[in-house]
Amino acid sequence: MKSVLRTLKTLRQYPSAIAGLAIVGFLVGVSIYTMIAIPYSEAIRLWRGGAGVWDENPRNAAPVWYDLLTRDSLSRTIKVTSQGEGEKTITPLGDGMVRLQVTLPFDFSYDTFPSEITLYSQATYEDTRTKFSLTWVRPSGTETVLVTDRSMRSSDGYYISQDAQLQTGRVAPQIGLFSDWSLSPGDTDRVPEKGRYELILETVIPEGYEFETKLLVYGQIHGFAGTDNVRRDISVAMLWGAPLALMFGLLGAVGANVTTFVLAGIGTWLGGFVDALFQRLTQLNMLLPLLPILIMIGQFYSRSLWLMLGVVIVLSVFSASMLTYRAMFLQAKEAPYIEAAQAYGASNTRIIFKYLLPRIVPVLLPQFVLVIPAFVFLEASLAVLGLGDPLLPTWGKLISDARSADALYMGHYYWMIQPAVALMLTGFGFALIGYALDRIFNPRLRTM
Amino acid sequence: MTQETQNVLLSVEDLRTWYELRKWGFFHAGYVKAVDGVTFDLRHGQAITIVGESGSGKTTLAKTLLGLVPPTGGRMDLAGHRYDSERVKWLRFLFKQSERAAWRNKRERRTWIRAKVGFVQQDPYGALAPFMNVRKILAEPLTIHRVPKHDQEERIRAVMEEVRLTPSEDFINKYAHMLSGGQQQRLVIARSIVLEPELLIADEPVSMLDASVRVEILQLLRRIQESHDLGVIYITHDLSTVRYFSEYVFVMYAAKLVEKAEVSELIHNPRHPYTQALLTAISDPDPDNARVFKDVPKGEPPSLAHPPSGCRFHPRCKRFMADLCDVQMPVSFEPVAGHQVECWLYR
Ligand SMILES: Nc1ncnc2c1ncn2[C@@H]1O[C@H](COP(=O)(O)OP(=O)(O)OP(=O)(O)O)[C@@H](O)[C@H]1O
Ligand code: SF4
Ligand SMILES: [Mg+2]
Repeated sequence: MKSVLRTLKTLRQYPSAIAGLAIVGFLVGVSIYTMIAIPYSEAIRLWRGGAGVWDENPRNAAPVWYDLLTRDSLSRTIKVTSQGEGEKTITPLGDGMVRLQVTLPFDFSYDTFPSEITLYSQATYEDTRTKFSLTWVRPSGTETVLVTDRSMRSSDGYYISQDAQLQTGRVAPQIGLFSDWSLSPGDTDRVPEKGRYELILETVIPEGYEFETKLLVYGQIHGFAGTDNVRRDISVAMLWGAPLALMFGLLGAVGANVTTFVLAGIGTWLGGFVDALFQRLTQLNMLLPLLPILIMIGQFYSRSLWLMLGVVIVLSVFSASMLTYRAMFLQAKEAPYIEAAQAYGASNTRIIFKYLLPRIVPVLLPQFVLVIPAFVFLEASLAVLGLGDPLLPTWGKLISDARSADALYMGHYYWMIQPAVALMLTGFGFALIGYALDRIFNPRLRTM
Repeated sequence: MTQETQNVLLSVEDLRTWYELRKWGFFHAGYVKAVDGVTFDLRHGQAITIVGESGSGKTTLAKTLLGLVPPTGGRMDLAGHRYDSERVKWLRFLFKQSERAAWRNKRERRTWIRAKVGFVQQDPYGALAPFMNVRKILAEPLTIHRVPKHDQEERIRAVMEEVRLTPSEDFINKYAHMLSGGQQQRLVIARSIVLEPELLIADEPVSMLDASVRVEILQLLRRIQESHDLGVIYITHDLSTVRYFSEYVFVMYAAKLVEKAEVSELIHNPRHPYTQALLTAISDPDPDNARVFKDVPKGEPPSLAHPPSGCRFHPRCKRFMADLCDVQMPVSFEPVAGHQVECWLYR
């Protein structure tokens, strides 16, 4: 073992290994950060959504780093509430009614238009429908009346950017409202007007009740990873994808690879019946198609990530690498020092674990490191095949969602490319370490 | 019991070790009779040499005596313990259990440790696990035999002193590949005596070493044998190294011990035609020129799967007697007291 540690230190001499270690270290760091910053239950809540979780996110927004790639500053989401920056004026009308005027001001200084505009309202009275009017004031002072006497439930949302009446020609409401006809008259080439906007709401409500409202001017970029078509923040999956991928890969590699290794050692040493049994099991297992079995389980039983992992491990214990290891052990067990150990009375267990396995660990270690990304990719492949865990935010699930939403066709490249890059980076990191280990432990390659 | 039998450390009678040959993995296809009817006694503190050409079954005999290969037949007693027999294959398991039970009794355990056999192999580098350092290598037998941790270090230092791996600080953390061939073999010897055995089996301990360190290693073995009053079986194919060592020589030919005699008696009065042929071949007084055994008597060594009928040496023997030597296996004769030979000439 000490010699293995000693050899690991020589990793430092390989720049590629250092790069690999840096990548893997980064992933581990991200994983630790994520698990602390976004606890599991919180991550599930953010990913599974539910009432109001995603409402304030823009739909299909690009990651904020898109801003660095464009000369223009891309619009971000602006939220104005009547409790916050908004101003309320209440005038009693008698008859138990009051006139309420809410002014929602905000500054807009981006070079691109918002993606959507929505106004939410929440009142404490029930059953009563009231009416309200909205006036939009641009920085230049021009006004547009959005609605007059629109009826409103106690809890309502008015999707301003979807109101067909506000569409002028081919100019969508969120463009028309953010640009002045007199300043940029064409349908195309419009630029948003910068400055202080105001939305003025007027309504009459019963006295003694509360009324709050919230204006959301959705931007075109959101979070460091963007959002998907249901306004879900992709960064949750990008972050939580790291620990899940590492865990799946590591558990898979330990469960399948290390178990195979130990069983191969035991079988080879004991020989006879045990060895024959392991070999037959391996041959049998190599005939079993892994993917169809997984698809069947996914379709008819459960798509839990951990169940899939369990099945993968069980099916890969007696995999082809059993035969590779067996060949190595057959050679290693002939070493005179093993005969010597028998002569001084070492038990079978001791010989297997203290004499036989350590001899092959140098071969196992690089393979073990290289097998980790293979399991990570397997998880992604399962997700793309629609067998991803329905609960967990994994990179594979992102790719799968992006694919079914035609993200590439729709131009939402980030949605698919970010998880793909994360997967490739993981594979790359482990591969760099694995190949360096291979070169250190199996020096014959060094000259090649 | 006579004085003589009480003093016997190892008693071997009609020991046979046959390797089964298999056709296509499971059909029985005969045996390689690598040890076939070996009988001898070894007294406490006695050193003997077994000399024989390549393929005569020396290593197989050593492994059988060590319990590494189950014997096909015959009897082996070590310090009064019958430690293997024909029934072993199935009884081995039970045998181990009873052995384990015996361990619980501390005194018996100690005797058992003493009765253990040390083993020095031919290839010192291969005999040392490459991933263990010197301390670990020497501690392994002690750990296995439940010597308490705090006693181990002392014992390890003691054997290192004994084989002159000194100062022990310089060596104790080294790995096998950092040692010279001679140092490696010293370490192997240290390991073989760390449990304080009564019998040491050394299978060609110097044949893979540089000529310059051979004598040194043999003298070391001799010194250890004398200081511990150790029984030693020294196996070699090189008769010229015998004189460093033992009182007794057994000549092995085709799985049998064909001649047993004291060293000087054998050198001056070889009886078996095979031994005679050997000795004429190495009459050169310079021991460095003493040719290795292999290519000495004309003709091929016999196949152990299909040994010649009668005397196994007869196809190569100059004094072959038709209708006797090729028909009947010679029995043991004792032309002079203490000098036994399996040859019809002495009937
Ligand atoms: N495991 C085995 N299975 C079958 N035959 C074997 C086995 N081991 C050894 N033999 C055969 O037994 C015979 C004796 O071998 P052994 O190794 O005992 O000879 P040796 O006298 O030690 O030779 P050397 O001087 O070359 O070491 C040889 O013919 C060898 O081929
Ligand atoms: S028994 Fe016959 S063949 Fe064998 S050694 Fe003696 S004389 Fe030669
Ligand atoms: Mg040999």
